[in-house]
Amino acid sequence: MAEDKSAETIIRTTDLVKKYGEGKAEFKALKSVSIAIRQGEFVAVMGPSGSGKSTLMNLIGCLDTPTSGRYSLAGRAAETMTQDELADIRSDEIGFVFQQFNLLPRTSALENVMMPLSYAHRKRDNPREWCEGLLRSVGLAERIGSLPNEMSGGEQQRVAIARALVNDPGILLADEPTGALDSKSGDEIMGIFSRLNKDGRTIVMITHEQYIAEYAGRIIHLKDGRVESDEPNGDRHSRGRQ
Amino acid sequence: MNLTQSLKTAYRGLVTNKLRSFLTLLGIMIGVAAVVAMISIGTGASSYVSAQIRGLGSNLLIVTPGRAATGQGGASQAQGTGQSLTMADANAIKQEVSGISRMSPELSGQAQVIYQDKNVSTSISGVTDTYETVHNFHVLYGDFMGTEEEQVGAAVAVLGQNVVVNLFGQANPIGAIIKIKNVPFKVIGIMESKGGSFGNQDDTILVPLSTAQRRLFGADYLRSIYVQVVSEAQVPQTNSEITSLLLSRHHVTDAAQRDFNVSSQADILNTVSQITGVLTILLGGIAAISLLVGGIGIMNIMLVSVTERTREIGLRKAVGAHGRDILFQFLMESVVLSLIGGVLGLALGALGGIAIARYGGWTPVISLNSALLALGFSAGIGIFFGVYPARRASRLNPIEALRYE
Ligand SMILES: Nc1ncnc2c1ncn2[C@@H]1O[C@H](COP(=O)(O)OP(=O)(O)OP(=O)(O)O)[C@@H](O)[C@H]1O
Ligand SMILES: [Mg+2]
Repeated sequence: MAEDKSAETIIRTTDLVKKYGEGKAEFKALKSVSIAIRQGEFVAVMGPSGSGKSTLMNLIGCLDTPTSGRYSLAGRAAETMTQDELADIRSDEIGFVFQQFNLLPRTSALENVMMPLSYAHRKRDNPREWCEGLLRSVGLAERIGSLPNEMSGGEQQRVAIARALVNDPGILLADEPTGALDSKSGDEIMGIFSRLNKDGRTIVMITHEQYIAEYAGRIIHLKDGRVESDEPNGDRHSRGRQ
Repeated sequence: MNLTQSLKTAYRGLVTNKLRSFLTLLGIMIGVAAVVAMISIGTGASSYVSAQIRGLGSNLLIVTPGRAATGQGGASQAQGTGQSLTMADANAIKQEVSGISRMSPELSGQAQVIYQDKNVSTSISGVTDTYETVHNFHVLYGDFMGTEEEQVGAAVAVLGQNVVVNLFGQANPIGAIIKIKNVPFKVIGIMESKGGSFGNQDDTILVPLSTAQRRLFGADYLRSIYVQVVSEAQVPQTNSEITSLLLSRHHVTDAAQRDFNVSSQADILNTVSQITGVLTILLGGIAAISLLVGGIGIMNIMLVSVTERTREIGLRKAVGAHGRDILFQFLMESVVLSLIGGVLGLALGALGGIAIARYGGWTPVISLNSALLALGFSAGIGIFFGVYPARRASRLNPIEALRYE
């Protein structure tokens, strides 16, 4: 990972703690997590159910605020930001891919991809062509006008990836992106992720499956709200910029 | 997020549930329709009433039989009931009361009229030759009955325009024989059209008073005596003279117990405006209630919609929507919903206003103001009742919203 050392740290959490509930019902989902992810890395987060993976992902994605600890994204302290500032970061810097795809029903693939554009500050000259290009790049040239209920799970997830890329974010966050797919579709999705990572995007992905994690360059294991292990992935598959 | 995009999103949200959206906007629609109709009737009726006063003159007194009505303007409530008014009363008034220029004693009732295979029920009025001038209502074709027909009790009839259409269609009725209560009458004239009004005069057949009394209704009493006074200033004087004359002729000592009423044209038109006033208040009530209920309906549906689309809201927030974007989206949806209701209500209210104006005989008035008022009202309701659900949506936590099942 010698060449990665030179890249700047884009995600850094320091003693991150997240509690849910109050009083007796209080539950510490994250007990103290410190990780640093450099620009251009492809990181897989693994761990048993309930270990705090999604909680950590939500904090990294600025969807939630930590109970204590610090989180900086591209050098900016996220834990002190207002709701609107967090929304702007989600719009401009981060793309999300969810396990359940979360496409708008009765809305075409193209319009699903275009949806986040209406909340973005940066306006594109030809938003339609840009989004059609994104759909083509994930192999959905034929599905531009299709509705979610007319598409397979793998196709829906690819629409969701195109949507996550619509504002050209530097970071792609995915919470079990292949969790609802068979292994063939899962491999297709990972192919796209690897390509995006080669293009320089930072990817953080939660997965339960070892063969999916093998696509990443680094694997973080969480257990009971703590980092159990954090190691480079020595597998033959791509990792970062090689 | 810009306006066209919000409108598009709102539109899509509404067409997904067409029936539900329509049912929701029904309340607003009825409310706005009531507002528009109310304004139309209010302005139309009042200009009609003042036009009537101008047309007939304010120097008309109407004597009717029946129990004394309490209060001014209530006179017409008891109008035409009872048999206490006779031709002898009419003659006495003519001879003994001062300031009278003309008078028209009348007896009217409902009767079956037959011409060939046509059979209609219509109002029959027994009148004298003074009827035309006193009512400012003239014969258009043919002749009116004169004193001769009155004296001999001739079986002749003058038809109102609607009666002509109903019985004869396009054919010329003059000279034809119609049967009223099986008594043959010869048609000698057609009245001019007076337009619809309360107690439509175009639906009436006029016959000589003596003929009506003897051959149609078998009665020697009168339903009304229209008295035209020489001038408006003279009206109160003539009114009290008629009252005291009839009191003594009917041997009534207590004026409160009198068996007749004397009211002026102004009194009657007053009653008309009171009736339309009541109608206006009624419609106003309907409007207020249905706008309120419609607003609550919108709020309810918007709350349902927010709950149904919790995941969508979470997603939109996750990809960068601000709270205010969501607020605006849902507010837009409720405003569009109530505005559509407003536009439909405007159309319905205008139709209602025109229909009632036709029935009442005045020109319908649908002013730009009332249209703007209606639309402003419905937009206001959309905002007022939409704010709470929209705020609720805008404050949803994105993670919880995304997890919502
Ligand atoms: N909103 C919440 N309120 C209370 N407890 C919560 C909440 N969200 C998560 N938790 C708890 O925090 C712990 C960590 O949850 P998290 O969703 O991060 O787990 P995970 O590692 O993603 O699990 P999985 O692999 O099943 O998705 C769990 O025990 C969960 O019950
Ligand atoms: Mg999870």
